[in-house]
Amino acid sequence: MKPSEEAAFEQFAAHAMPRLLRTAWLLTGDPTRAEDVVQESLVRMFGVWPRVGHDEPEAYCHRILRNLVVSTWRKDRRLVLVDHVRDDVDPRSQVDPGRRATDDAGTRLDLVRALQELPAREREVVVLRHYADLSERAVAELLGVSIGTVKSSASRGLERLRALISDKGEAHVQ
Amino acid sequence: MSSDLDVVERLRTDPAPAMHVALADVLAEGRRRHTRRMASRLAIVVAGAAAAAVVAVVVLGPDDRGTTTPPVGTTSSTAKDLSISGEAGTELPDDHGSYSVVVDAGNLHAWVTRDLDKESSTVVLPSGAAWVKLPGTQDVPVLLGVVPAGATDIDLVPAPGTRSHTVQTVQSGDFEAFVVRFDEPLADGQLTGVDLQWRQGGRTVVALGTDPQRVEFDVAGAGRLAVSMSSPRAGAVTATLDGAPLGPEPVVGDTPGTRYSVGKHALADGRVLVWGVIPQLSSVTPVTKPGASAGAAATRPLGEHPAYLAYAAIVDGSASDVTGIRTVDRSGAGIGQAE
Repeated sequence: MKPSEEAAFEQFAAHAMPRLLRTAWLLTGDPTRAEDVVQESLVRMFGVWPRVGHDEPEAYCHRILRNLVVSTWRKDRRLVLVDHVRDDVDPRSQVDPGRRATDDAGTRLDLVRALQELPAREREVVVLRHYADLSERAVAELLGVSIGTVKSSASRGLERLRALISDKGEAHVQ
Repeated sequence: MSSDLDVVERLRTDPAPAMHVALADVLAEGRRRHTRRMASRLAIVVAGAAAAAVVAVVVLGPDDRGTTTPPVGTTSSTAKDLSISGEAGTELPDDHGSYSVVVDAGNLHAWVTRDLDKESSTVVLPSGAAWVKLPGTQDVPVLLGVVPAGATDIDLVPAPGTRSHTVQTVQSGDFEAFVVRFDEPLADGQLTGVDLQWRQGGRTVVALGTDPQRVEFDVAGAGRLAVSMSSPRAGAVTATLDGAPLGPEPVVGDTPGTRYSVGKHALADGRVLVWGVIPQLSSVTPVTKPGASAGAAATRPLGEHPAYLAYAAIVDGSASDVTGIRTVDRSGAGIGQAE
């Protein structure tokens, strides 16, 4: 890789990393696994950077990340069935710039647990569409489904998530 | 929570745990993998200790190539240790990218370089052959693998339904890398039963998916359990209990070090036999619901060159009480759980 390409990758990675980390955390519910998945995603992105670096690299990297997350779900389903929420909150580090940290650890727990209660497809659509800000078409292509399915999954997912979060403290995942 | 917008806002603003990825580590690992691929492309990197793979195989007569599918279970052999160690790799060009293989410490790692997240691994067989199925262009799968150096005329063992295909090879140190491309899309499972043959030293050699790893052992109170798994397909594991068939159960996981299977069989006395395979150098414990209890799992190496252990454990409870297994490696790290 040319030095200029590597510099561009480094700039991309530094910029995209907070969003990738939060996406991975929302999908997995496990910050440690999120770190692992993001690191591997970026390493793989490095390998294809000369070819894909100029064509929506963040969407491409999200695609790699999502595939890795699904792979870990298949490999170790146990990890989505237990509570791995860490206490070392650093709101400044991962909340997007300009956005505010609004809640305490208890509500964080509710949000993460509630997400893990969603069916995998709905969880992916909600996170990729409404957090990662991928377009409906991009999400559809990434998941291999129709745009209509993305819309309906997003709607159902948000509705379910709202109900779960409203039911404070009852979103148990055992 | 009043609206969907509020939920979306929380997705974006709820405090997250402190998470960190060192960019320097990403760059270092990226460079390392890039260097490995480039070195493989230019020449071939073979560790000094990499001895030639000894070929243990079914040997057909010199003139009977392609005349018949070899009989299952006659593999036999003469050969012993597979000594591929260190690392060797190569790439095979494709119209839209390339396929890469690396043999490292007895494992084959293969991937499509146009889409690096499509990676697959398997264990190199005693024959020195290994192959995996990967996505090719236009939704047509390819078989990507290796056979020992010096092999020629690499091809699929003729079998009913085998589609028209081409085989391309690249010499690479102590092995020959190959890719088998098909001329049209294949139905799911159509590559499941593919065996491979090649010519070497004037003889036809057949590497067999039908080269099963197998072990039998007594499970106290249950009977004699025989566990079998074919490699490199390794898509499923089967067993018999006192001759009665169990399974097949899928083998899940991405790499030899993380693949496992879980089968449950209700015994006549109301207990449950939990059986399957786990990676070598690992241990397993059945996971049960409260009220049920699991005995210690017995394990046995699955074959002469095992990448896996067969295991069996008895659970006092019903099949629905068994929620999975917990598998840990030698360091105590969890590597998988089913169900």
